[in-house]
Amino acid sequence: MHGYAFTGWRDLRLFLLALLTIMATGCEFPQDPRGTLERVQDGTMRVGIVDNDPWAQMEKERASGVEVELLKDFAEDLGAKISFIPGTTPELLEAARQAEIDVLIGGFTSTSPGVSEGKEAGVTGSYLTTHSVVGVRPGAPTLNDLSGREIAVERIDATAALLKQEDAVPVLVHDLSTTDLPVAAYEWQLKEWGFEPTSIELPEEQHVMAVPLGENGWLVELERFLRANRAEAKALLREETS
Amino acid sequence: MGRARSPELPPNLKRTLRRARRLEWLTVAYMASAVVLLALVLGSSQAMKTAWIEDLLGLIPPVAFLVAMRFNTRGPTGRFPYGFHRIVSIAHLCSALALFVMGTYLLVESIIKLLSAEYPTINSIELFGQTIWLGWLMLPALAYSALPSVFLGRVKIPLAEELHNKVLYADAKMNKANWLTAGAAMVGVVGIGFGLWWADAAAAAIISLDITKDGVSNLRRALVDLMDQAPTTVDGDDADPLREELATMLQDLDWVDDVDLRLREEGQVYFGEALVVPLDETNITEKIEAALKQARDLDWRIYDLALVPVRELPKEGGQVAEEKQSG
Repeated sequence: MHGYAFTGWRDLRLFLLALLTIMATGCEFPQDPRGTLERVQDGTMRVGIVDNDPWAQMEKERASGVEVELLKDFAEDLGAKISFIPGTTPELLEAARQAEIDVLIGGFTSTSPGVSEGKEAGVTGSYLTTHSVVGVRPGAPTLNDLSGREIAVERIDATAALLKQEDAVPVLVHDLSTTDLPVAAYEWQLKEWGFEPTSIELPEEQHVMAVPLGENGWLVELERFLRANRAEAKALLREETS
Repeated sequence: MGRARSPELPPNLKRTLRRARRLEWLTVAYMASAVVLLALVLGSSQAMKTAWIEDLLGLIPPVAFLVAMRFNTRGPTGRFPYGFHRIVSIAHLCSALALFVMGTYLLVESIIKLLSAEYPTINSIELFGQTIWLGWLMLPALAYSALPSVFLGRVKIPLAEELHNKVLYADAKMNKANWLTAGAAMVGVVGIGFGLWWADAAAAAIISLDITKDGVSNLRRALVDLMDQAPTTVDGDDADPLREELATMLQDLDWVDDVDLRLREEGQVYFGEALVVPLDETNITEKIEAALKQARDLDWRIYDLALVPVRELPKEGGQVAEEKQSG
C-alpha cells in the first residue's frame, strides 16, 4: 500500500539524473517544433512589419526604423538574408500563427493589445525601455499636473493613450517641433526642438518583438541578440528620432 | 436499552492525531509557498499552469482536515444531539471533490490544448549576464513542489489508517496527485525543450487519468458514507471486519438468542444500534450494561452503540418492530 511512494521516489531520482545529463549536454536547447532557427540560418529571415514610426516602416519596398536595423544586424549574425512583409497587426499575427513570418515588428510594447497577451504569437522579453517626458516652451508656465491640460501629439498612439490615462487631452498637431502647446516626447527631442522638460514623465514603455508561438529556440536566440544589443537599440532610437 | 460512550480517541491515538495535525499544518505551509514560487516562474506551459492550480486545490484537503478535527469532538448539544463527528465525513467529501475537480480540470484542459494544437512558448531571462531559458528554471521549481509531497503522502497513509480518518487518506492521495502532476510538468517542459510541443499536454493528460480515478473513488466513498453505508476500511470499499467481530461478540453472549446489528460511520467513529432477542430476560439491565462495556473494549471506533432488547427481529427490509422498553 505504501509501495507507490517508494517507487515514485526512485523514479523521480532517475528522472532528475536524466534531466541533469540533458542540461549538461544541451547547449542547443530549447529546440523549435517547426525548426525556425535552423531554417533561417541557411536561408531567409521573414520579417512582418506593421508601420509605426520610428520603430518600423515600409516605403517603396524599403524598410527602415529602429527594429528593422536591429533585425538586419541579427540576420547578418546568423548569415541569413532578410525579407520584409508589410501588413496590419491582425494580418501579420495570422501569418505568425501559420509560421509564414519569423518575426513580427511594429513598435510593440508589453501592453500592445493583440500582441502582448502572447496568445497569437510568442513575445520576447523587453529589449528597450523608453519613457516620454512632457516639455513646455521656454517662458510658458511649467506644468505640475496633466489633468485637463492639452498636450500635443503627432499621432494617436501609445503615447496618446498614456496621456489620456493621466487625464490629459492629447491634441493632434502636424509637427511637434513647431507647436506652442506642451508636448510629450523623448528627452533628446525636447532639447532639439527647444522645449524645456518638466518633471512630468509618462510611464515606461517596454518594447518587444513577436515570434510564432512555440518556436522557443528561435525566441531565445532572438532574445539573446536583443539583450546583447540594448545600447545599439538605444542609439538607433536616438538617431531615428533626431 | 443502553448506550456506550467513550472519548473519541484512546490516548495513544491522540498522539497520532497530534502528529497528523502537525503534518497538515506543514502541508498547508509548504503548499502555500509552492503556490507563490510557481506563480513567480510561471510560463505559458500548460502543465506548469495546472501544477499551480493543482497546488491551490491541494490546499483544500489539509484545511478541511484541520477544520474538521477542531470541531469533531465537541460534545452533543440540544440542536446536535449526535455531536459533530460527521463533520469529518463532510471534510472527506470536500477533499474528494477537490481531487476530482483537479483531475477532470487537468484532463479537459490538456485535451483541449492537444486538439487545438497550441504551441507552448517559454521565454528566456537574463541571469548573471547569461541568457537562460525559463524552462530550465521551471524544473527546480517543479521539483520543489513535488519532492515534499512524496514524503508527506507517504507518512500520512499509515496515520490515516490508525485514525480511521478518510480526510487524511484523501489528502495523502492529493499529495500523490501533486507530485505526479509536477513530474508530468517536468517531462512536459523537457519535451518542449526537445521541440515536442505536445509533450506538455500529453504528459498532463496521462497523469490526469490517475488523479481523476482517485477523485472518483474518494467521491463515491464519501457519498456512500454520508448515506450511512456500513463501515468500510479507510483505503477501499472492503467492509470493515470490525462489524462482523462485534456481531459475533454479541451473538456469542450466553443470554442472547439472535442479533440484528446496524453500524454507520460518523467520521472517524461508528454509531449504530443492535437489536437483540434475549433468551433470558432476568437482570436484563445489568446484562446490557456488561455487553456494552465489552463492545466498547473491542475497539475505540465503537463509539455510540444502542442495545435494544426485542421479542423478535424485524423482517428483512421491513420497519423495525415495535420496541420493547426495558431497563
